[in-house]
Amino acid sequence: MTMHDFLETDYARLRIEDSILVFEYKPTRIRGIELARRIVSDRIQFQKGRAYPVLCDARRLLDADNIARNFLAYEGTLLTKAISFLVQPIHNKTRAEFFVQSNTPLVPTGIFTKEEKARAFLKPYI
Amino acid sequence: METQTNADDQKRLSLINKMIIELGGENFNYRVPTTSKNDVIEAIAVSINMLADKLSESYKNRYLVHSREIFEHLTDLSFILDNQFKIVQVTSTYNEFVSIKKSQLAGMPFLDLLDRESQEIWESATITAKYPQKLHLNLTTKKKLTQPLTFFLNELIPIESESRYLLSGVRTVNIRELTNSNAPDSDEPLYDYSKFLDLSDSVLKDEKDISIIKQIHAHIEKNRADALGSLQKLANDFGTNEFKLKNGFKELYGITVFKFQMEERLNYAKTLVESSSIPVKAIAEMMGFKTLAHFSRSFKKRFGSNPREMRK
Repeated sequence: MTMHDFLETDYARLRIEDSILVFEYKPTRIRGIELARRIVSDRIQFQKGRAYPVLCDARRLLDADNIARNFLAYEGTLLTKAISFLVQPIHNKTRAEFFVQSNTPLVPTGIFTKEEKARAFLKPYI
Repeated sequence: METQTNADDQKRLSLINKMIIELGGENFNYRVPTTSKNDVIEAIAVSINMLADKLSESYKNRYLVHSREIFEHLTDLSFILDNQFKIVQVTSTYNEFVSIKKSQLAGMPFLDLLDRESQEIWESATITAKYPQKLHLNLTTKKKLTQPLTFFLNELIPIESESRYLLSGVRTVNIRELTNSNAPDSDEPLYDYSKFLDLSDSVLKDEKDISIIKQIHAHIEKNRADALGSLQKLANDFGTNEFKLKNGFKELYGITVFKFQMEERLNYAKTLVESSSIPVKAIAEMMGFKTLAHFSRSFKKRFGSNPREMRK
């Protein structure tokens, strides 16, 4: 892993690890389209045009409003091969389940509370 | 201690119950206040709030299909604030939103009308001092539920005046309710709402027809780069006919099948053009355009400048 394989923003840490893009949210409330756009655009720039399977560690993500969720459900899948959401049990997981259930996923999507399982889900897409 | 917790849970459950009742009454504007607790009650509260988002969205869409006049975005709650963000004046519509007496409102910090989460947003917004600023804030309402509103905070000039800031709240309002409450004595209803969700004039005759069109919509979203082929084939693949697909899609989404696919491709392409250094030609290919010229032309028509110009 070289230095440019890591990016830290105010809302997340991004790194490429074993051909997987690990997107780790910091405690964040995603309110409105502006931040949602920035999240997608930062990730795409970081990927330099390559598509990756994405491990989205949303355990510390606090909340995302409807506008942001709608944007992320669609534009958020750009240049992703598959996404696994890593979440905390109970209400963080409920949010993720609702999100995936109510927006037909455009790429293969899984929700996990264990990191090994989340990574295993992405293996076929590496 | 345990009884304390139980009493607290009871309170949270009763708010959830109120919220369900509000949803039943087609009020999708309220939300259950969330806490930092990590338990099943919190999970239910979160689900209900997300359900309310979803319902309000699809309800609006259903309405818009049949009548474009029922829902409207209104600025109907505005505050004038002084240099310490205390309330100087408020529009007379305030009592639809907050349960505080008029006499107490004047001089009250606007912050006190917000739930805890929004108070933090408000505080940092007032420190940033950037105008105009768009803020998503939750007002605490009469029923102890919160009401999310989008506010625009603007500076007023000249600054010598006591009134320093204008804070305008925007929400989506059901005009049907407004019409009814504004004209209680009227015998004749202004609009005939009995036709709401009446599918008799529609090419989509039942839930199944609607569901097929939705599946085709989702199919296009998933396969935006693939050629659509003929409408007849697409319709057959999903078990409907060309007539229903062509007219039903337009009716449900307000756009033709081909235009929708073009919109999808261009929107994604724009994000890639703006956020990546992927060559324009490669983006055109990724989004399923046969030629670069066609992509650039369509892009320019939609966004006013071609992809290369946008990158500069």
